[in-house]
Formats: sequence, structure tokens, C-alpha cells
Amino acid sequence: MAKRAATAGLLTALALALGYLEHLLPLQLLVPLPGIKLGLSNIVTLFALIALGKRYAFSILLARCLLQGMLFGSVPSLAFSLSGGILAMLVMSLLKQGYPSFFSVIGISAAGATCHQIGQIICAGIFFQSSAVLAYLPILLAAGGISGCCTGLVGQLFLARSAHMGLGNDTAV
Amino acid sequence: MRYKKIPLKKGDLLIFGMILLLIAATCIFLFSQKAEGQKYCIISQEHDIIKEVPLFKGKKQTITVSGQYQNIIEIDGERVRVLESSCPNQFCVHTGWITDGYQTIACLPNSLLIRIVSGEDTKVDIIS
Repeated sequence: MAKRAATAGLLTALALALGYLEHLLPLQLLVPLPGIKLGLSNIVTLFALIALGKRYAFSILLARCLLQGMLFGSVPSLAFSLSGGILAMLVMSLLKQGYPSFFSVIGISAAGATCHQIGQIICAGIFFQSSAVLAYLPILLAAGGISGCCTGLVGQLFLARSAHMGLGNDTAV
Repeated sequence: MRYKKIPLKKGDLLIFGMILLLIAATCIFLFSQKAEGQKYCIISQEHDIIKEVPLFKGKKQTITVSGQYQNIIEIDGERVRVLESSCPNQFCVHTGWITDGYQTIACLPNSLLIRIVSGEDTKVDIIS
């Protein structure tokens, strides 16, 4: 039990560090929508979901979003990352039922990243009280799908090498 | 650790298919929403519309918006952009020109939003 809690703490710090790294890369120069991000922290969310379970993953997500918002974010970015993250978490935990027989980590991650973008856009639409933000949906969905695959690959590698941590997770390829 | 093949499963193809379907659907939906009729440029701050400017070809105008920061908006015919801004991140300036219905320029620090709408639906929005 203590090992899982310690691991959760470690993962939260890791997700926070990845979030800071993302913060340094100005993706807004490519797509002028405030709040668009690479989704590197999803690697940690994914790993936590499979290795530690839904509750731990959800707590790590909430803690990471709040810390990110307080340290180097703003109120809008906090709202966007929370809305995207929660929607992604819901969808990913649903898809986890079919893991590892029907889905692989890559598929779950791609779906999660896409839902993250959808959640962000919905939140942005409410924030700006305008449906004009929907214009960014196609490119964001495409970016989400691709980044989801990449983070899924990294997450898969992460899981495969974590067998020695003794968390009892299923890392079948 | 050596992989003999990429670890994709059947369900993944379903997921990718759905994502592609979603992208196609949103593209089709957006392209069917081209603005018709007289175009207006709507400038709002803090959710209140502060200016509505009709757009004509050959029309040139600059508008200065104050607030916490200052934005200078340039209108050239049927397109609009933020020429200059005193905000810290300059996203609004980097957006460049917007020319049609679903494009926006936003300056979050100044709570500014610039949109182009057609004459028929200046008050109608899908969400609000």
C-alpha cells in the first residue's frame, strides 16, 4: 500500500515536470489557441491508470492540474487542462476494460488525447461564450490523435520496463 | 527490449477510425457554415460587445481598444487583424488576419475577442 502511494507521489512530480517542459515550448505560435499543449503528462496519466488503477490515476491528474495551475499556469489554462483531463480520464478508464485483449496502450492513449482536446474546446467555447472556437476542432483532433499515439508508445515502453517495480500491473504487449 | 512488431490490437483500428470520422464530420460541418451576406466585425471585451463594424472591400480603419492592455486593430477590406498590442504574450498579434465566419482573434490578458459574422446571424450562436 505504501509502495503504491509513494509511486503515486513520484508520478505526480514527474507529470508536473513534464507539464513544465511543455510550458517552455510555445505551441501557440503554430496554432493561436491559448491552452493547446502536447499532452506529455498523459504518459504519466496512462501509466498510472494501468499500473495503479482508476482512483490513483484520477487523484494524480487532479493534483497535477492544480499544482500546474498554481505554479506556472493561469485560471483559463487550469480550466482547460482540468476539463480535457477529466474527459480523457473517463474515456480511458472505460477503454481500459478492453485492455489488453482488445485495445493496446497506443489506442487508449490516442482516444484519451483526442477527448482531451474535445474537452478543452468545449471549455473554451463556454469560456468565450462563442461557438467560433469550433473552427480549431479538426486540427486539434488530428494533433490529439497523433500525439496520443506518440505518448502511447512512450507509455508502453514505460510499462514494459516497470515490471520490477512490483506493482502487479499487466504489461503484456 | 526488442519489439518484433508494433503492438497494435484490433480495437485500436476502431479508435483510429472513429477519430478520423470525427475529424471528417467536423470539417464538413464547418465548411457548410460559410458566412453569407453583409459581414460584420464584432469586437467584444469581457463578453460585452463594444463595437460592430461592417466590412466592405477597400475599407481601411484602425480601432484602438483599451483595458488592462492596449490593442490596435486594423481592418483592411474584409479582413481583420491585431496590428499591435501591449499584452505580454502577443498571441493576438501572431494570429494574423482573419477573414471568415469561424475564425477568431483573442487577447486573453485584455479579455478581448474579435470575430467576423454575417449580417443574418449577428445575435445567434450555437452555444449561447
